[in-house]
Amino acid sequence: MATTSTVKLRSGDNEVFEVEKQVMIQSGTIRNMIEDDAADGEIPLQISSRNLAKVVEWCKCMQHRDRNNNNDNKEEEEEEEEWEKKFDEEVSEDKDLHFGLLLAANYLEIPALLHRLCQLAADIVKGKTPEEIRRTFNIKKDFTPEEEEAVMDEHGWAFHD
Amino acid sequence: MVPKRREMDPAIWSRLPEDLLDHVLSFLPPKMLLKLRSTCKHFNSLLFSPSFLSKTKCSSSAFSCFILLSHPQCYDQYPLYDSTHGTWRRLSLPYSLLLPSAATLLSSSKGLLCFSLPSSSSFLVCNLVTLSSRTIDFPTYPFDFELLTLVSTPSGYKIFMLFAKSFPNYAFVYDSTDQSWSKFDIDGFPLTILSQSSHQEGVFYKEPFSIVRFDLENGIWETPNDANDHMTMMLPHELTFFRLVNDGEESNRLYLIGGVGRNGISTTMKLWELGCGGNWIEVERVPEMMCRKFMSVCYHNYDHVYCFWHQGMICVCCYTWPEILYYNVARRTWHWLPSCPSLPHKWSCGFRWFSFLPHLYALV
Repeated sequence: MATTSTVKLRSGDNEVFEVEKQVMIQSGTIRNMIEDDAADGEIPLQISSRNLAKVVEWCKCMQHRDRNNNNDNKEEEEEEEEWEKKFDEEVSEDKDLHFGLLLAANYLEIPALLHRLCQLAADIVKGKTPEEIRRTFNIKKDFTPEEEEAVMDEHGWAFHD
Repeated sequence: MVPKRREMDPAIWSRLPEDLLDHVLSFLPPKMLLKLRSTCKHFNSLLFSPSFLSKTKCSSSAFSCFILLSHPQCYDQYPLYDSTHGTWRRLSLPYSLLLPSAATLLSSSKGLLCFSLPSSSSFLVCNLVTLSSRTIDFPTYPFDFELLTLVSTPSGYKIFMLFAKSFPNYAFVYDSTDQSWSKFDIDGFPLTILSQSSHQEGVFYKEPFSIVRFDLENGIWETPNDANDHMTMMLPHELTFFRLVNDGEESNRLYLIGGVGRNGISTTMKLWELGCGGNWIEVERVPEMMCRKFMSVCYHNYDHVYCFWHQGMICVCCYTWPEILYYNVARRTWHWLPSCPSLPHKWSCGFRWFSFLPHLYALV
């Protein structure tokens, strides 16, 4: 096992983040590196410094929350909730950030963050029509009109409208 | 709070890898997923993919609750009464996609329906939302089964039935998790399989005066936890007939509905609930006019009467009559459920009703 308690992450645009290992083991990818003693030098990541900073911030907040889970500090609890709310808003408003974080969370294997970001994306997808979805995600419509109708008919009974 | 409608820039989101998009979709409510199934073949196929369905985060059903009618004159249709909105549905189930014509609906549990296909000596369990089905061969041949009951469990489902006309009697249980049949001895002659309890994977059955629970997991017959050992249940006096029904929910309440009268003629109908001490506590009396109508409907032939639980309603039915008499437990009111509009004017008997709660994630 490595002796230092921190790990250095190098962003795609060459900014180095020194973070406590305890914080970064939330990432499966980095945890594996630490366990394999492959995290002594800098870990190069194809993630922009802006996105990486956000990921680190998120991990710190979560770790802080988990550590304080047992003591009943109302004030801190509210502060954390506030932070999460702000995080959600910021991500939802900023498509580049949202998208970048999704890829980063997926690459770094941070299930809780990925979960949160997918939930936020699903909230935006909600209410969109199939046509809008196809446009957004560049999906080719591979149903013939007849097939499309048949697919819709199969579940007509289930909906009250 | 009404969520703001946010745009998603295709320049960004079109670069999302497919597995991440699937991940995002798994957070959508089932109804939304269904509405998006015409997007492309891949989306549509997700709904039929057990691995995707097992990952979905939304457990709520989002569908209406239905009472489903099986009637010989509704030729291979199963008219649906939407009990959430209180109307009959005009559209029918897409069941022809899954079923051969000579199928008989036997039991329903959550989103699953169980049919028998006598011509192929098998059962068919299907989910009409995902249009998925599984054929299950009879465990022996010939197979004379009775009182078949489909039971949803947290990990899948089980099908319980009695193997009749044999001595000693057996119970057969099919387990969907390992797709196997098990055979169990029965001590005694059960008359009625009551219904399942959602959390215990159990089936009740009754002997003349006692209620015994069958633990589907371990294949053990036992008395219910809240009852005394070998409890002899005192039935209310002067019963002309009775049926048992349980709410199938956490509280696992057990009700008894029956006629009271003499010489096999009921003058009143009452509802009782089983108390902790094993005694029946009168809950309600069926209003006189309704009781009279029900009695004239079944001509005092109580063999045709059966009961089932549906979403807080105790439904009392007669094979010969197109309406259901039901009791709304929370409101403590009695009603008639209107007959199906697509039924011909000269209907014959053979009304079989099922509680049907469509569910996207009920895997066959």
